Amino acid sequence: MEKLIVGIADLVVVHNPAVLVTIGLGSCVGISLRDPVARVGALAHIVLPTIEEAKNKSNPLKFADSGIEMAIQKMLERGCLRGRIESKIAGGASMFSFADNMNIGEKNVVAVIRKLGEMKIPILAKDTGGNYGRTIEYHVETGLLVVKSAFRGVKEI
Amino acid sequence: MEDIKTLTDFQYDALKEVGNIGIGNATTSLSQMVNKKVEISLPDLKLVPIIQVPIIVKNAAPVVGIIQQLKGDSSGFLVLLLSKDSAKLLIKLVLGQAEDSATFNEMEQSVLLELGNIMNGTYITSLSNFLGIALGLSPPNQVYDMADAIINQIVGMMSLDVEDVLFLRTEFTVNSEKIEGRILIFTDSVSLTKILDAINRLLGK
Repeated sequence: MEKLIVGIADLVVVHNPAVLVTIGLGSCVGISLRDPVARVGALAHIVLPTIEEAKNKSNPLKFADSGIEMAIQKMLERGCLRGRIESKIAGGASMFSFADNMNIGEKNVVAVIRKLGEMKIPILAKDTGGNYGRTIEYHVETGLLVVKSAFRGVKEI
Repeated sequence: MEDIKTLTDFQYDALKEVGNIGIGNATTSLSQMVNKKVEISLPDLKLVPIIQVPIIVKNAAPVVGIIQQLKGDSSGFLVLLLSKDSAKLLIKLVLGQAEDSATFNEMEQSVLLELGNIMNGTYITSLSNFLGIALGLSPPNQVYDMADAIINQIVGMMSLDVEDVLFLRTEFTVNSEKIEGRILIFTDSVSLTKILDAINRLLGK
């Protein structure tokens, strides 16, 4: 099956069947979404927690709050129903830190969970935090999220 | 301060030359540590939106990264990347032996941290001296993980304040030992203004 790559601060929305991939999540978070009835899935790769504090607001996909809103909007445009959309999330690590570190990974995860909660999108599974990078593959048809890391093998959530 | 979005050919060439000087000095220090000839390749330079920082390697094979924050007149990050094999070979040159394992023991990690610190430090000191600007480095952080994830976190940490990033990639090889490594520099466009001013001063402009 064709694998579609989702870049940094990027979103891909597809109709089944498809596998959406984002490579090398460090502090960023990957948010997979799907409506199993409409058979539409999405994967967003956000970089920062909130557009509220951003100087440059030109790319909503960069932020957890505005990125999730945009992803849901695009899904609704493709025939999804809000009440059917489910999510899984992965990423938000802190691989290294410096003295003035603000732990973006953790803040990203908190912001993603908050926004999904506000929008009443259930989080079926998550693999977040820790100090290691992740590559994720989202199988839209089954909703399976495959999380690969360098030393912790492959997790299917 | 004005946000620089494009560079002239001249500025590209001048910045690449600055990268050449940095990697040249860094590899000289490596050469002295391991007593081998070290070659460098032409630097690659890009001024790109930070979210378009190129994917470095497209596989999940972990690499050793020695990461330091760039401070002073320039802010950003400097990263030394080594494949696992290259890192093991370098350790062997320094210690006379390296464990044949998938990970690095404490002694090996400290050798890598020290090598990285010296190379990165020499790189930045030579730029600082050449350009006549104040550059410094934070203490080093070491990770052994996917290169793209390391870059991903740097993008995350810089994205709060930065839209465009100057990405300078320099590479070196110890041909006789099949060792290769890369030093990457990420700096923001405000720092870039200061670096370009320094280049203009050097040229008497």
